[in-house]
Amino acid sequence: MTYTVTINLRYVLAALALAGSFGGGVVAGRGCPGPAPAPAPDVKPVDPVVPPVVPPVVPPVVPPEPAPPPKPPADPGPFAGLPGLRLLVVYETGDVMSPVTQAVLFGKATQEYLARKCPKGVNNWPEFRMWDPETDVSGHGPHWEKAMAEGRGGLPFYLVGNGTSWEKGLLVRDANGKKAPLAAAEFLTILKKYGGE
Amino acid sequence: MAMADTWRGYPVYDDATPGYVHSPAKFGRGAVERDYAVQPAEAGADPDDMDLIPESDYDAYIDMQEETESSLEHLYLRAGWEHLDQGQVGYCWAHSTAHAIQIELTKAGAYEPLSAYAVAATIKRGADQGGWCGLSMQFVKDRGIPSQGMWPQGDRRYRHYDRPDVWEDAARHRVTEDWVDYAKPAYDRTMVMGQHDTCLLNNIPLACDYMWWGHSVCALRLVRIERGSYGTLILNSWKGWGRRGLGVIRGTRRNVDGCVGIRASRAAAPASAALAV
Repeated sequence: MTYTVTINLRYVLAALALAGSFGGGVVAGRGCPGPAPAPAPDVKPVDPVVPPVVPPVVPPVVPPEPAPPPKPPADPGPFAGLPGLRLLVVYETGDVMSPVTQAVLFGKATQEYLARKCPKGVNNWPEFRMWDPETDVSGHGPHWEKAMAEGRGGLPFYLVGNGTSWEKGLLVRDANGKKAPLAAAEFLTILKKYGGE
Repeated sequence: MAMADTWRGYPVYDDATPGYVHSPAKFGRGAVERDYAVQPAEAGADPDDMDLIPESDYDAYIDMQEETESSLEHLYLRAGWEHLDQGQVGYCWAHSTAHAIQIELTKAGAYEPLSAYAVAATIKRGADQGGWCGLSMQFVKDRGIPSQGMWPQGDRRYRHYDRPDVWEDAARHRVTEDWVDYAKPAYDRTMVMGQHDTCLLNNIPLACDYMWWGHSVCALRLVRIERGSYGTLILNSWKGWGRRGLGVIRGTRRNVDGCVGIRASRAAAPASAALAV
């Protein structure tokens, strides 16, 4: 018996051309490792160290804190923007006053310090005032009217400032349930906080 | 001419001081007994609920005032203003009140020279007549007291100065709370002097009338002449007298016949004052 094999030449040529397009005819990874291809000169080699995979931490769900309310600007006080030491004392001019408090108000140390440190204001008067609560203070300037309008919480009362900071308080304070007048040296220390040495 | 005793450079008038020493003719005086028909006893407030300082505490107050230089004497000397001069006119009773108000203004930090003549000349229509300190104090409560810039001291032309601008200026120094009468007829001598001394130890100036002297002055301070003996430091309205107008009276001479003080007064600044801040 005789077999006749017919080979279509076109199929053979197509097969040969397909093999040539793979540059050698063998495809890597197909079970038969071949030589590694040379890296392209402009490509960095890949770092072979691979970081461990950390599972993502899911934070507990916390409701967001409410934003703090905007801070009000510090109260600039009645003497705001007026540079230099200013002092207001309010006291009952007709009341009996301890000699300690008299020394605080009218003593040489306080008076000379005020004369030296307080700027001159209306009528060339130094900018300190010691008034009865009933005193009509019109014409002395709006800062004195504002200072007189401050809440006092008692008498005798002081309010001192220098245009950027200020404080107020009483010249007689509670100490262990007893009334204790502020001493002249203590008061001078307060004044110096605002008027300097 | 006999000289008065002195204490710390101040003339001292006491029971032994002769009349020609304490009342030289070259100085005006002018205090007369209060006429209660003109000014009833109800005029002027009671010094109600005033806590009197016991005499046993006087030394503690005086010592502290000395140590800290905090009395009205110290305040007046430091302030440096010139005391008022009544000249030879009998207007002492308005000067004592004007001095008390000037001292209060100094305490407040806003001293101004005031015109005592404006008060007395207006009340007396320019006449040289005596009065008492309560009379001038009532006037200051009603109308105020002008500054010397508006009505110069020594000028009695009351018609010339009777103008709205003058009285507007005067109103800046009106007594706003009632003035206090520490020598009401209802009080005995001990009470009156207890109140008087308490005021001075508290740095409250007083206008005081002394009938032995026929004079009215401003009392500034209770002073200790020697242990257990006190005097009243006064501010007189006689030019060139004492040390800057200050002197001391002691003994029974201290006893007052009229004695008034201020609770609170207006302290308004002059309308023309520029704000220099």
